[in-house]
Amino acid sequence: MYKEAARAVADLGYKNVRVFPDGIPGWKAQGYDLIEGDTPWDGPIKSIPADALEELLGQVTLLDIRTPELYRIGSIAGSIHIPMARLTEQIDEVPRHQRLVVIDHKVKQAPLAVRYLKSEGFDDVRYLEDGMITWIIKGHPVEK
Amino acid sequence: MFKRALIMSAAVNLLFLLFPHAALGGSDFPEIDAKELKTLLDTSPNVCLLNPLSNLEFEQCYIPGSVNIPLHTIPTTDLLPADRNTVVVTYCLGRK
Repeated sequence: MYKEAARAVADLGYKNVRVFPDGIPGWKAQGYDLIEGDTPWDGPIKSIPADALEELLGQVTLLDIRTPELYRIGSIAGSIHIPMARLTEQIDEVPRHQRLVVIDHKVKQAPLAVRYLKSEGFDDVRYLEDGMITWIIKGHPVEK
Repeated sequence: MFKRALIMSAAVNLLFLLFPHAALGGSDFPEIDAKELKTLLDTSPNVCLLNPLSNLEFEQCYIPGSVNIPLHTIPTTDLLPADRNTVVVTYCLGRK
């Protein structure tokens, strides 16, 4: 995402844009200070394997938090699309009192999204194990 | 011919899925490592260190001095410095 951000900044006319590809892991590896916040909800969270989710399609609400670019490539029919970056501002659009499965690209964002949703009172929420990338590669149904 | 185009399309989609950042274009910007960034921040007070992740991810962990501007808000943000010559460094959770 750092590359896309750099491009977006340069498109605004900034002339001295640089990127730090190693990001937070690289910074941490050098022992430099980080500012770390509290986890929204620190209880156990659950995932659901792709095979099990395919059998439940139609019986669960799917919340896809990938970027619009990735969502356009392919999604699970009927899923609600709210990118991770908009989740807090669009939380009211997430149906309550339903079984909820959060879908991301490859499980970098979904666990945190699940914790956030738990903190907001969503009880029955889990995330797709291994993410959408594995769902697609394994040939599970995708809508374009 | 149609079949070949279909296969090509599927291959492109798979490439995008496996390497979305590469498919969106390589980095055209100078790269710096952690030590260079630390030196830059310590010696140049006007550097803008930009974290483009969601607010949820940012609040979990960030480098001191960062500004959080989620990617989709960059085009309309007023959090960037007015001076277009300011050094702006972007980072996130790493290369993956």
